[in-house]
Amino acid sequence: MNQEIINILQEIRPEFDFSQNINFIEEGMLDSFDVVTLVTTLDEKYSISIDGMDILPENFASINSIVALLIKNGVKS
Amino acid sequence: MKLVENIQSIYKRISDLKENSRDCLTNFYPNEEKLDYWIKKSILFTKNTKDTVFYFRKDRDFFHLYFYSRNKLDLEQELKIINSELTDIFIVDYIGNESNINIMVDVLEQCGFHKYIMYKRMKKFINANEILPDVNQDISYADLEDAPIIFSMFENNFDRFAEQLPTIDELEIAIRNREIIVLKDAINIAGILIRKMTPKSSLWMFFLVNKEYRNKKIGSKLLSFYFNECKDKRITMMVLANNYNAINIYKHYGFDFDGIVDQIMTNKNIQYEPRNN
Repeated sequence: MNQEIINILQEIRPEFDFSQNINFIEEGMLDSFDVVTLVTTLDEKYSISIDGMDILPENFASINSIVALLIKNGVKS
Repeated sequence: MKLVENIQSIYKRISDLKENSRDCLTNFYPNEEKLDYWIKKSILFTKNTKDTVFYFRKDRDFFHLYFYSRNKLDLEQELKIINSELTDIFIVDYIGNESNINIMVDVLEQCGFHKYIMYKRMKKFINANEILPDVNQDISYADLEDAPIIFSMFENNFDRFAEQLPTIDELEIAIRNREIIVLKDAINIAGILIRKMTPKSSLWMFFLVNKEYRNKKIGSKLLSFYFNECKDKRITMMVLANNYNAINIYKHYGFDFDGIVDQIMTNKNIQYEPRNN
């Protein structure tokens, strides 16, 4: 699943390397509009509906936090 | 309209609307820092219906209108009610991809809103080894005492409906965060540039050279300083879609469109009047 998420992020922001272990939000690799685009893409790809309460920067700060969010929303790892 | 008293109520309402609904319509992308500020200032109001929530943010003599809905018919009905029952000026920003934004813009037009102006997002990535002009030593960070002057520059040169103009308080916060760079002569601020910086990107927010200082390379000096700060970063900014002079200048600097557009709409038939081209 990690590679799938990296690929999605790379499509949204091709200029950045999302395989690095850094905070995507604090580093400025994703902005608020990117997060909304990402939520829509993840909802469609995994047929889920990410809870509005979960659309918080910390849930999109790393591959691990995005994976945790997907698992919380019912995606099997 | 009811005053919003805490952020949790906003998240809870959106969460309830989003539950079991994958096709929500919204122009509301909450940013905790901004929400906190609006709530503290008592300028954020809400209206709820079964399938839609509206947020109204007071700004000068009008309201920014945000919505989150899981039912297009309910949204249309409520927008028509707002438009017919309330006499205030409402401004709606709808941000999306250029290819599909018209779906929502059509809905808003059917509910009595009019297109006001459109912005397009441009981006540029500055490589770490890109050769840029030298930084001019006269550039400095704005001081707190500059805030009223900068505020006045904004009021005189930018459009209050379209530009999300900062308040004095917000300018002072931006000054404290060193987000405003200025070029001054002995008497006046000649030009300013406001940007937000993160390690990998920068949001270019406002750029203005006072009329009497134009054609004196003030803008180039500010941009050189800014671009040197942005090595190995992505810069994004919004430009008026019909400001071809500005677009050509930004293209000359290496910017291109990234497909994101911001359609500004209003419930009144107000014409946009260009002031800072």
